Amino acid sequence: MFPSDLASDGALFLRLARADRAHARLVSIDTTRALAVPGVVAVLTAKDIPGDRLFGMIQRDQPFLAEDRVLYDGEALAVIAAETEAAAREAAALVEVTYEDLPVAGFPPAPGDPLLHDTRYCIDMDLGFGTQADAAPAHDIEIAFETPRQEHAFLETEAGIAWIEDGVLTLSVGGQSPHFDVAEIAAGLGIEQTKVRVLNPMMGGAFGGKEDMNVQFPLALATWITGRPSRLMYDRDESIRVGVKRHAFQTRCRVTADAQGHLMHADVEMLADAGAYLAYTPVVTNQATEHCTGPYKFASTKVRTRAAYTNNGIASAFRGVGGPQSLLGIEQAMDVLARQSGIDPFELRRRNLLKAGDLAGPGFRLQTDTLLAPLLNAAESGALWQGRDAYRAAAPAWCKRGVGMASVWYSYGLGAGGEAGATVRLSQAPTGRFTLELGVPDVGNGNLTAFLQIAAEGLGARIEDLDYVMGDSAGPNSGATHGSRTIYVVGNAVAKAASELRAKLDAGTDDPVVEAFFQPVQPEMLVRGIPHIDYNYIVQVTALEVDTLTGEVSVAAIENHVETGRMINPQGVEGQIDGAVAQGLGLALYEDLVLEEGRVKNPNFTNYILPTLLDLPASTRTYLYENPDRTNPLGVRGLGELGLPVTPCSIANAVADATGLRFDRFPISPQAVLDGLRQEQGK
Amino acid sequence: MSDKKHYKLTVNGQAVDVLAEPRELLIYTLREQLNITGPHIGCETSHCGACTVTIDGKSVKSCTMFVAQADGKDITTIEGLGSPDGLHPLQEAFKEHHGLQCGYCTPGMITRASKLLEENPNPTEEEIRFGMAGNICRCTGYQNIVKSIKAAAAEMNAAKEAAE
Repeated sequence: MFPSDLASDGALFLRLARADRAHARLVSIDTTRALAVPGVVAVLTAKDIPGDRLFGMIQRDQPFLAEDRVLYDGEALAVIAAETEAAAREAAALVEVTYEDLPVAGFPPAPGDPLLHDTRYCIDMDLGFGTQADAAPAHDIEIAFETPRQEHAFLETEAGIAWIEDGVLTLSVGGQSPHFDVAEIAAGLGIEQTKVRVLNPMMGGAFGGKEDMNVQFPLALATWITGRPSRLMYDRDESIRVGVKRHAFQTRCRVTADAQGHLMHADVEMLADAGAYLAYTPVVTNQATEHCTGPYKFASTKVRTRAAYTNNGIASAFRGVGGPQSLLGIEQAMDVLARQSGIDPFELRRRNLLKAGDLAGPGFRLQTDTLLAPLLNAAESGALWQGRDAYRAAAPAWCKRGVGMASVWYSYGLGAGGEAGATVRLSQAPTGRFTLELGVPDVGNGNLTAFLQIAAEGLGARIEDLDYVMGDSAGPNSGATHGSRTIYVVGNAVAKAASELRAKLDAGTDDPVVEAFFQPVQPEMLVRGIPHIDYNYIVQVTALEVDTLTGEVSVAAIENHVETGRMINPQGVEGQIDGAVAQGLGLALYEDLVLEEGRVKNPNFTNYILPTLLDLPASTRTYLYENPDRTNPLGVRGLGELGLPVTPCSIANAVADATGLRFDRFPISPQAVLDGLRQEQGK
Repeated sequence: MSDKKHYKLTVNGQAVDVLAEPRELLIYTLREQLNITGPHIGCETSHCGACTVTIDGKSVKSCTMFVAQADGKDITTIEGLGSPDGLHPLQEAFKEHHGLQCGYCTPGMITRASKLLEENPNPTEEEIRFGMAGNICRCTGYQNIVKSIKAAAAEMNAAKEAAE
């Protein structure tokens, strides 16, 4: 049962009355007419919140319900609870609001924009190492582009139910971090955390977009105040309008190199659209900063990263956070450098790979060698790259064909200072069956299967002998499902629990239960969150066709070469890569949330274009290279995100191979391709 | 404003009588009145296919059909395509070939695929992709969905041959 499938007898239907302004002072909210709708039980506003009225993962800056001002279109103003959904919807439309309109802060920031918080830029980092050499470089390349706000588009929108059970407010919702949600809900209601329990059942996708609170607090508030069960599922247009998004970025990446293609200096400048509140912005900008010069060795770097508050909704975590926005810079620059210098793009990368002890990115020391060389060799000798000339030559008259590649690193686990570790519990019942308890949810990524496999192996048992309790704040705190951390951190805790329980059973224990904790060794911190304990590596080759009449880009084939660490479930690993590639392809070619004056113009799947079966190439090959990772006992890596950021990079390089064009905006639209081709012709 | 009427539907082989406003969308009738929660609400605009059911032998997105339009019709949902103990070959193949991740699109995918294989028992890769293009999956990248449908087609054809 999915969160949206859950219904409870007598549950109240909730709807949220939302602001239809992107920036305004709230003069008054009148709920009289809404309350008069037959069947309406409660209309709750900020003043009905008994505890803290602000929440937030990193900084409590976001009101559960807007009180004196509105900072984004669709911000919640009131929770309507009614006996029927129709009554709740009718009442939501009858909440009468008087606004005093304020000018809207857009992206990029312009002089004269209103200041939404104490500061314009919630993030302003200036990092780097070394000083740029005086010698004139043989090559000096600059890539500049914008990336869009990307919608998670999990097929199940934010949904859940709440009820009171034995005095405990219980929620079953689509979320990624049940223990965190409990703390936020308890603070908002002004009650003990022991009075709140959050369950995360199997849900219809998350991808980072359900880390932040969504339906949790409206459900908690309505049920706590009325004493009745309640249910709420966002409409699709509501989900797209108010749900968190991937940050839009403006990125400029300048790279210099000597005549032999040895990298000299990198100068990267990134500006992110944080939206109205902080959410996970610091994590996103950190990830972008950490990865922006790629797995390559530079003599010196300079990295400036900023994020601006705007009235463009809220941006937060999305699979591969900060990855595509930063890696598109370095990977396109490397591609241009290869063409300019005449050095093969694989060889150029091999020549510049980071090794253990080298300074990387904004200036942290790499703990282990990059694992890219064998992947580069394999991809270079792979069928797609070797067949590129024949593929290009066979293009129909109205098409141009190209083959491009990219090699990408992406961290797993949480960054320095951010990983609190995971606790899990494993026990055996008198019947002989085992029960594995862990707090993190399976958000559709399949980590449950892997945990059961790990536990069964450690116990010397069969998977069928195991029961589980997962995604439950009443269970041990194993953190959240995010940051490609669960197999790595929680998986090792499960392995530890299994071996400890097995030892206990072998010794003839009469107390067959263990609680195990695992926390990876943290690397030396550059700034909080940077660096990570280690990095994943992928090389991707993409072949595609550009229709010169329509400007459409069709991806014909993708070949992935992935360093996996020890694989618990190879099918699951490949599935994660395939799924991430599809989302990366969407970002490269289709997905573009259009905002005007802070309003989303395409809050539906009619105009927010998601990749279908016809957009993903039938010819997709993923080669997995299994070398146990040395940083953890299980030897595993977290591979849930890696396939996303690499994909726009290899697509951009393949489009450039086909057309000679680089684009200053993603997704690469057919119109931009046509405009580019016409300009080329005019030359 | 309420103007409810009785409608007779056959759902997964069972005759049911529902009392609903004519403009109630079929997906709500199925989920809210009949507690058939296999078909899911994904986009409400007939783009994603999570709500796909079969009506009188045709694939239909139940989020954009009024219950009044389904009056007297024969409806099959994922619940009518096999049971936990006796999975439909498509369900077996999706399980075997990792054709799902979160599973939310899966009922619609399999319901649509079951019609596709009736219309075309031996589809090519291209025909599968074209025939399934009205169903969106955000998790899998589709590769294993295609693999699962191919495997199910082979299994169903082999079973048919064995029976003949």
